Amino acid sequence: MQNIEFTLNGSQIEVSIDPRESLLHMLRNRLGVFGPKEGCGKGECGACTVLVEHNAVNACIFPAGKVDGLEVVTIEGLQQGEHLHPIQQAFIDTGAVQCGFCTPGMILSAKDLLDHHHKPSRQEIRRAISGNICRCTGYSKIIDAIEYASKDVSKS
Amino acid sequence: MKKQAYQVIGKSLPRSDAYDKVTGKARYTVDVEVPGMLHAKVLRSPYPHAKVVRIDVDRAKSLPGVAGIVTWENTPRVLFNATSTHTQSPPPFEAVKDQYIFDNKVRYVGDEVAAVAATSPEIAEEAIRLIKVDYKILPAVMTVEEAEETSAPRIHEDKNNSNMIGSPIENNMGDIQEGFKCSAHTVECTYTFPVQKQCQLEPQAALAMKAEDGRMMVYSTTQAPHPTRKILSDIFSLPMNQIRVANPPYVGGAFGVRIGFSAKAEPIAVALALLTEKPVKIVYSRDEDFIASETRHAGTIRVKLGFSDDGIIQAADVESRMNGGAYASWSVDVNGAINSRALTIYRIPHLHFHGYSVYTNTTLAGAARGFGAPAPTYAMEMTVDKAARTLNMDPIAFRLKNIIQVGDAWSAPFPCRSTGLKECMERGKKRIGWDDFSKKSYDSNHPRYLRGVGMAVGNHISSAFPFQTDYTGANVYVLPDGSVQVETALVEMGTGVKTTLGQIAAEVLGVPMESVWVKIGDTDSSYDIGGQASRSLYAGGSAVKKAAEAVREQILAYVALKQDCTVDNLDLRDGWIWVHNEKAMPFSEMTQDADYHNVQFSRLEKHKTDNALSWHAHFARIKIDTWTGKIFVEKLVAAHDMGKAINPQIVEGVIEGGVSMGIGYALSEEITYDHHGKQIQDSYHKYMLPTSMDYGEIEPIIVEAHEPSGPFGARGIGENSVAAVAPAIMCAVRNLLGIDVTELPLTPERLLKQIALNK
Repeated sequence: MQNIEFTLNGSQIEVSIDPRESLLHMLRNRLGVFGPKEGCGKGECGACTVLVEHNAVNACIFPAGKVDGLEVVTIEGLQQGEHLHPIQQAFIDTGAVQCGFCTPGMILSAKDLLDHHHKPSRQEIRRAISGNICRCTGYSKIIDAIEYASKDVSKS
Repeated sequence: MKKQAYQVIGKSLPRSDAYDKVTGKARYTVDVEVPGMLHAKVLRSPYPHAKVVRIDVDRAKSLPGVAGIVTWENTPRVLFNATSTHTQSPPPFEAVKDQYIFDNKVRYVGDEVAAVAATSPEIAEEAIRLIKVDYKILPAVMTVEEAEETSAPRIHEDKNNSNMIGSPIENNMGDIQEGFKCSAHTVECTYTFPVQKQCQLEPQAALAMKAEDGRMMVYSTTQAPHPTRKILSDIFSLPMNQIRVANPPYVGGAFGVRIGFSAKAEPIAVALALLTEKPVKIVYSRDEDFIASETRHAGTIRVKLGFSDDGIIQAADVESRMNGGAYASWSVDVNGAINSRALTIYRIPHLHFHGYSVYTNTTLAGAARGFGAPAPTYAMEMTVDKAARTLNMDPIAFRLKNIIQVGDAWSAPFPCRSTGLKECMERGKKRIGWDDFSKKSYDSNHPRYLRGVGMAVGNHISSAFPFQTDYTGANVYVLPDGSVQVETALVEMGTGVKTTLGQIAAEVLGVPMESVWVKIGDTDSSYDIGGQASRSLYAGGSAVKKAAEAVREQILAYVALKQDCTVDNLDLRDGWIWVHNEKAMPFSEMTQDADYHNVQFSRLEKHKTDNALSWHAHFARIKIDTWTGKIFVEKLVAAHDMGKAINPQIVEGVIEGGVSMGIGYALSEEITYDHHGKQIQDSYHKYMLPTSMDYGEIEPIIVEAHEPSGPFGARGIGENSVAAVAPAIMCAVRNLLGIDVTELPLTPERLLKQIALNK
């Protein structure tokens, strides 16, 4: 076992991990953070997407030990009190949510995009979520949501 | 008729589950944890067909942390069918029950041999590796042709003298010989279809435990809680009321893969929970989900169509042969659906259908979104397109001459009371720019690219009636504070039913949407056959509407008495009681008053069991790269008539998702087998599931032809948009290249081969 310290959704965390375990395993099984989902366990579907130092990563294939000293944000960390992040609100308003299993990962991939690129084209949005699989929506309303949110995010 | 002004339905209100889902608070079966729970893993067969001679579990058992091991030797020898259909089929339909939790024979690569419960998934996994199994390998059959040979090995020796699953489906109307005799033209073709996987994001999962009330509690990813409970009750000889099956409350997609058991997650979890007397959770890995849970049926369909000089269809002869895989699941019923999807779109005076499925040593085929629809819709629509070409007629004009109208005779066991198919075709045609694109066009700057359009139509059911029992109980009651509780066992697997059922109750009771809470996915609500057959809104909505209307009557009678007026002078709207068109008191004040007088407003209702077809026309604009063989769908216009759209935004979303699955079916998705009988595509990447980069824009169009049998005129929409996508795309391919695509998916390799053959 190995002790690591990192920032999770703004709080300082200290946790003892198995050096072989994934970030997703640590979040779900040790810390009870269930927002990130496991859809494949192989980095193919993006349901486990979280932000490490503001960059979207597949937590299921990201070694837990690597977040030592870094900042991790999961879907649970996006909301400011009662206020949803504009991307979360956009997903609700445009009807981008169906079964919801891909939603946390989609939103965090979108956040990575909009944090780095204020006015992405639809093609750039498609590229940014191309590692996130959704079987319910056909992606249409997810792309709408991110485009809609980009207007809100760039205003703020 | 006076157009009614609705307050809540027909509006794109935000989904009531959206907040939970965008904040990460939504709970799924994979997220459920209880103290002291064990984790289960399954040992699966590496062979497609073998006798299990001996299982040695001694080493696995002695591994620290292992709490229990189940095999065929210590689990009930009760045959079942893991789906709702052969649990809910009324006579004369004959149930085909051919599965045990574990058997002493394995019938496909991935078939269950044993399962271990341990204190961690890792220990369970290690224990699985320590189980030693002696197999006697048997010859395997992978295709329909192999399985039909007289010398073929029998996959279920006890069933009958062949590998046929149940009995064939036969349908006759008119006189087929006569029909072809009076046809000036005939066209005929056979089409071949691949195995498609549902690919729902949440893997199969269940958690079973003895609950505090003494019952067996099963959290599950099922899309049919009540049928699942019924199958568990049969296997474990427990009364149905001693088992509770519930989603916790969400299901991460389903698409037909768990209409009944989630593969075998539920019975394995229950068997281990009974053995170890501890809670047991099982979550399939993605590759297990791929190889060991149901798929769409692969197979072939032959269509022969006869028509007159002026383009009137006279006769259709359709034959289907489906690969059912190792266990029956939905394999009998699928041919009923194929018959219905192929032969209810057009007026066909003389028709004949014959269809059956056979056992093979492949993953069992079951239900998949658009049950039975994509293959026959493809075969029929490609043939109809060909017929129109034979006559040099515009394919839309040909179809308009032949589509079913209200009151027409057809072979479905319920009448056609409404259809907006004509409007779907007209509006879709305009939106895609049919007249501009219907001629072959080269991109003048890039002669390697071809651009063009194609179209196809289809329909789908709104319930499972009369093929299964089909009913939903809905309980609606008003609480003393004026809030409304709606209870059904329908499942929120993404289709929006938690929202739309709430909209229906809110509309009827004249309360704001926020006042209504909808309980879902739990056998502790009244009986229901689950989220399947595009029925949740049509059947469940009808039940909720009927119950809410009864509650409304109770309220009006109570208020009339209080206000000393007749109910005609009363209304419920916007959360208020209106007397003589004036606001008299808030709804909540009235309910509090009723409570003080020992009055409760409540009703449990069941809908009037019925069925109706929803209609659609799809138009594809594609770009073919003739160098690489790659087809890109630039635009897919999907015009759908689902009767009243209770929530248009949800309807659009559902259409778009189905279209995406249809594009995958047409161009990339397929599971094939290696020469050891092992599935080659067992992960998302190998399987080529469409991503956000793989096609252009999907444009849904909503057409609302009022359906008399549906709630507020609504019909089903859930599964409608998968089937017509492939024929729309391939009609465009035929326009551009003159190729009749007879095998799906049309991968770049297959297209290049076709182009080379055609040269």
